[in-house]
Amino acid sequence: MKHKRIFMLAGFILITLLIAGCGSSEEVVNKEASTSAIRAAQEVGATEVPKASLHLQLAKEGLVKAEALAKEGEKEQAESMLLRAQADAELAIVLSHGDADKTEATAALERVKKLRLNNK
Amino acid sequence: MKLIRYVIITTIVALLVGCSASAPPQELVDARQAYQQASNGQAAQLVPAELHKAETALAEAEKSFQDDPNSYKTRDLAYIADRKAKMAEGLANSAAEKAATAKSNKDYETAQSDILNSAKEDLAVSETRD
Repeated sequence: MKHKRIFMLAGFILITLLIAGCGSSEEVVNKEASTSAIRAAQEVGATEVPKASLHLQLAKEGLVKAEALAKEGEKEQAESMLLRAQADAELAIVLSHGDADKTEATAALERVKKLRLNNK
Repeated sequence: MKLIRYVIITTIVALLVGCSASAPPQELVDARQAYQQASNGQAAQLVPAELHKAETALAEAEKSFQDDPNSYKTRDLAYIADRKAKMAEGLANSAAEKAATAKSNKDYETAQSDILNSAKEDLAVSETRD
């Protein structure tokens, strides 16, 4: 009777561990593309441009969410979330370059105006 | 009486389910709007390839919405389509700013050249007088 109880308890623990193990099997996802894009956005100065900074932040949050989904074993959803993060980081890069291009265009126009004004 | 109540409740539930199934997620609404804005702007002329990428991404999101309206996949594809449309718009703005810079640089060179020519002419006139 005592042995039977021990076997039942061991069986219960084994099943519980198996279920818990299956439930939280961490999936491996390739984060390279999104982390590279986030790094590139930081390097082009996305943190200094308000709109770009917002998308960089969204990209970072997307990466964290993807990691959490991968931990929960939701591989496909995690990969989808990584694509979202990558898209946000790439947009942050475009917006940073756009800001730099705008500054350059304004400076070039000012240079012409100044030259013409000084030589009237 | 019971039957009538049952029919009314069933109709209301069916209507609610029908409405919620056909309503696009916010991400898709945003993506459609972003694409519309990008295609109405300079993107079609300045960065057609990027606009095409945005169009393809939106079509993929629309297809996913038809197949599985409430899935995370539909929302994520729409989110990506929205970002691609904004990217196309941003790249078009960049291209326009670069063109403006190039024009200003050319204007600067022309202005410099005009000033130099004018100075040479003034010098020639003063030398003739002397």
